[in-house]
Amino acid sequence: MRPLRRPRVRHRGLLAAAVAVALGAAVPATSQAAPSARLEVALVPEQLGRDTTIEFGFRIQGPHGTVPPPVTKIALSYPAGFGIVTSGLGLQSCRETSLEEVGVEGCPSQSLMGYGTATGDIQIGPEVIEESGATAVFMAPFQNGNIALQFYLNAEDPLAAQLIFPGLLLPARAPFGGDLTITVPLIESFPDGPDVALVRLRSTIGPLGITYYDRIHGKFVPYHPNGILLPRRCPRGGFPFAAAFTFAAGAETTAHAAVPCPRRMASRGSARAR
Amino acid sequence: MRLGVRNKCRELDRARQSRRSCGRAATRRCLTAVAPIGYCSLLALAVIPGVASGGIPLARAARALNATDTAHLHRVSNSGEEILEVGRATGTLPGSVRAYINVGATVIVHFTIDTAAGAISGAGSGRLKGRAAEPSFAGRMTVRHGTGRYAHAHGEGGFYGTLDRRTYALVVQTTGTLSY
Repeated sequence: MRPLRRPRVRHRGLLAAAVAVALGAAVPATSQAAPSARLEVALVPEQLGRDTTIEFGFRIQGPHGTVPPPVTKIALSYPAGFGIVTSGLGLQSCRETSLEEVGVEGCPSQSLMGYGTATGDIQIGPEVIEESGATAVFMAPFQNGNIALQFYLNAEDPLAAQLIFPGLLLPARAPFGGDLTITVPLIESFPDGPDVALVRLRSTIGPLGITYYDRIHGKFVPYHPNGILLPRRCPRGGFPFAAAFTFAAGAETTAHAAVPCPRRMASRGSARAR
Repeated sequence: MRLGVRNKCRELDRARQSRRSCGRAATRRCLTAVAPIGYCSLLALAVIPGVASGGIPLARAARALNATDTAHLHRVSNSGEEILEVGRATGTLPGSVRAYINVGATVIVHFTIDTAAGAISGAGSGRLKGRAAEPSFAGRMTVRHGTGRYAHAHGEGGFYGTLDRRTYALVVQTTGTLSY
């Protein structure tokens, strides 16, 4: 997947750093040792047999807290029995061309499946510049029999960039029900500069904070879509999640998390990485 | 004596609830018994279903059917990614249909068609395509067992279906060969 636009450098600090690089300032190479990742997942609300929103987030670190190499692929495994297709989410699909040409507004409301934020680090000399952006997840047309998603990133500062990361829901081995596999392109910070390293992502997949619009008798009627249906039974040890990260340098790392089974009358479950 | 052995075999079958034929069970018993070899042979031959009084086995002709059916189903309940649907099938094998559909990364369908002559059960799997609101799926299905006239039913074929994700209404078309 290619970037929609070449990122434009806006930040003065980044410009200065870029000049420093051009002048031959020492830039420590990104560490080749295996980075580590931490996964956090929550189900909001967590009631068995009812619909929910998956809130997931991860944080990636290089060795000793350094900037990790850029991620090229993320595979988020979700538990068996989670009804993504049986939910009311993604009743329409958004084409990549619509996202590219118009942005989020170019997609039908009923294709939105979640949203969040992403943060990337750019190491320039001793300085680490943080880049943040908003993300949105859209249903895409099925691809070769697989459910496809589009992750849209709109970064504003210090780099302005709009990117689309394609995702696929692929079959997974038990205890997982599927793998949400996201291909992440290399994001160049500035010409001949280092690539932006994704270090944090928080996103939802579910109806939380989402409004759909149905066209009835020529009028757009808002409604709240049904969420991801949870199974009626919770497996021993809770609902398992895992995230596998592949980095540009070839390294791989995996993080696990489990959302504890809900207690009676519990309405929110969350998990931290183990 | 033959009648007695046959009844014994039927009891054995009922007790074991297995698919082994009566003749096989009796043969196994004979091989482990202390009885003379001649007696065992007679016993095994006598209990083969369809053996005529003259000792000539009568073959039961297996029937084969090219079946094409369409089922219109509606949701009864759902949990997670599994939906229980019921409805009617029309076509070669008309009857009521009950289907468990698992709509995950792959669509897996377990179905039972209750016809006037017996039930037919099987399963199929396929991949999603088409529109997000009303995806279609197509794949292969296998008939595994049945009851009544279709007690020995087996076969395979293809299926094509569409699922309305707003109402969970399901339309499935099946075509294939059924032997019973």
